[in-house]
Amino acid sequence: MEHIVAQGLSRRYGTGHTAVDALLDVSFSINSGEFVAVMGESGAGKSTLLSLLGAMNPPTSGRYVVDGIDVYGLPSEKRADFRREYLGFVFQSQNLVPYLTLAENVMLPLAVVKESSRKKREMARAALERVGLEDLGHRLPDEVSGGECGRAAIARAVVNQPPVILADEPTGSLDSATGTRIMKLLADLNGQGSTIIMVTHSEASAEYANRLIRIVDGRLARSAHSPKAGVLLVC
Amino acid sequence: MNLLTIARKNLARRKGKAAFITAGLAVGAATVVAVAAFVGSMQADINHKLEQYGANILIMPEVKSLGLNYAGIQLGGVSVATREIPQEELALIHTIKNKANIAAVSPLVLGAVAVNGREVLLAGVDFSAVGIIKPWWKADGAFPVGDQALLGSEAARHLSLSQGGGFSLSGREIRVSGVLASTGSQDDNLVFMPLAEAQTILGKEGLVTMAEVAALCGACPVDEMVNQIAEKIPGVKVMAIRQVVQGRMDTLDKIKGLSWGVSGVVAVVGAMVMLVTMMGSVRERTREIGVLRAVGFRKSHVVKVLLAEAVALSVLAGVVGWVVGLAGAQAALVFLVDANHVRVALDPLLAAVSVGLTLVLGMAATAYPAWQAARLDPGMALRAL
Ligand SMILES: Nc1ncnc2c1ncn2[C@@H]1O[C@H](COP(=O)(O)OP(=O)(O)OP(=O)(O)O)[C@@H](O)[C@H]1O
Ligand SMILES: [Mg+2]
Repeated sequence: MEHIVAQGLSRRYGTGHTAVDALLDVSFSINSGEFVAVMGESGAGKSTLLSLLGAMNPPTSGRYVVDGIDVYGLPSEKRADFRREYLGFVFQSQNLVPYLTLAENVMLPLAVVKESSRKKREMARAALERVGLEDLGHRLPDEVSGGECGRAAIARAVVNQPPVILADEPTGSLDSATGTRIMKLLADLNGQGSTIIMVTHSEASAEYANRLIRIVDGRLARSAHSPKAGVLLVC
Repeated sequence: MNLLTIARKNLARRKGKAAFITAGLAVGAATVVAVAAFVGSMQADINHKLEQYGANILIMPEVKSLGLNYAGIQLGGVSVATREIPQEELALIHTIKNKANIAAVSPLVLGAVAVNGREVLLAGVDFSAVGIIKPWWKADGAFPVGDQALLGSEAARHLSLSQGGGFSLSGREIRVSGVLASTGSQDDNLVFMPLAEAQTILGKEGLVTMAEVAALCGACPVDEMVNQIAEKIPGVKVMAIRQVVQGRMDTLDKIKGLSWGVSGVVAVVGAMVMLVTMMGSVRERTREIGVLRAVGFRKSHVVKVLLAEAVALSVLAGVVGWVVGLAGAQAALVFLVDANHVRVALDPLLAAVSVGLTLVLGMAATAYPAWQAARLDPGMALRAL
């Protein structure tokens, strides 16, 4: 089933002489349950693509459709609701709100939904358990390690069980052991049915994906391979 | 976990900034409260003094010509109006619309008599009303009853009489019950007796020459009361004595205008402090707001968080401003007015005004930064490291 469809997505920053085409005519589709790694040189446009898929960065042209919803056809408040219901974000770093405990950070996506606070706490606890942080829920982000922050960010991304998880260099600043742990978590979530789209520079991380999208200068490289299967896939 | 949790946690985490904003707003509120409380107490003080001034409405027979006396210096002999007012008409004063504001009505009958061969003015007075109408009277001795007289200080000297002395008048033996301390007014020249006795001696039974009315408050509508009395009792002249107090009121009005101006400026400055701080804080929280937007907060949710913070700080500032303002007003009263009986009132209305003011200022100062924050493109906000 075609879950996510990108049709001719382009994103230009600025105008005139200083205009940068960060993304040019990118089209692909992703099926439900895929684990996609997005790779490319620095400045290639990976983060731009991810924020675009994250319903946070309207394309200059093109269409982005999820489950039949034309995401950028939605008014901005409805797009916020879409993000909450469909997407879980894992950013590289500093994405936890500093004055909220890990548990509260995990509950953030639930802050604006009508649900008893007991239920919310239960959901947060379950999410923290999944990432092995059930004992650190009361700590502030600056009282835990970078890897623990990263895991808390994953817990937050999955707390309301969104169908799609977007991750931008989730292992970027972590040592390899911690990075491996995070990748295992993502693979685990993928095994449970979540669609995952992850930007990474690391070949090791990309190994966990079952599909690779390579971006060169804002364009899709013509071919990509699945590292796991070792088979060439055409986008 | 809801939007309020986020607001509360942020304030708890950034106590210094919260305290700074609160202080800025509180200074504005305190100034306004202090001015309001100070002016209010001054007003109360003046009202209190007004009551001590005694009579503030005079009721006299209509005279056809202007009196030939000025400041107690008589240029036309004893000038007593030709017509008297029937005493029972004075009862009508208690039927006017503002009757609740009448503290006392003091009838007065005047007439020339000869005492020990000298001509003096005899005044018949209702001594039960004197305490209110002429609170400054100090008698050496007692107020007279029956065939007794109270002498003005000049009259006593003139007639060479003192307390315990006596004289005869219209065939009665009158005893001097006391002598008034000098008042500096025309009262010094008079011989006072109870109203009924004086009326008999002067042959003016049931008649009074004039009446003095003490209105209860300074702020009550004396001019309207004058009109009301004039309507009820035709054929008399009703006048308000205002000059003394009017001057003080004018001064107070000027102080009021100036103080309100100053406190308005201070309040606006307080709001600006908040505006600048809030704008800085939004900039500081750009990334955090990006995270909130990314996890599905609507613009309105972000605005609600920021406004909730502003409401909390504003209410706190309003309460602090109220307390500090009242304390300031009390201090100012002690230093500037040195009136021990004047205390600022713990007016709950003023507390409401204070909190209302800080709320309005706080909201106004937060609206723009909050709108800016909500407008942030979440993608861009997340890039801003
Ligand atoms: N807000 C912006 N305004 C102007 N130019 C931008 C903006 N965001 C990105 N760019 C430009 O668009 C291009 C793609 O940026 P993007 O962040 O998507 O790269 P990236 O592939 O994520 O790089 P990296 O691996 O370093 O994170 C770059 O040339 C960048 O300078
Ligand atoms: Mg990037």
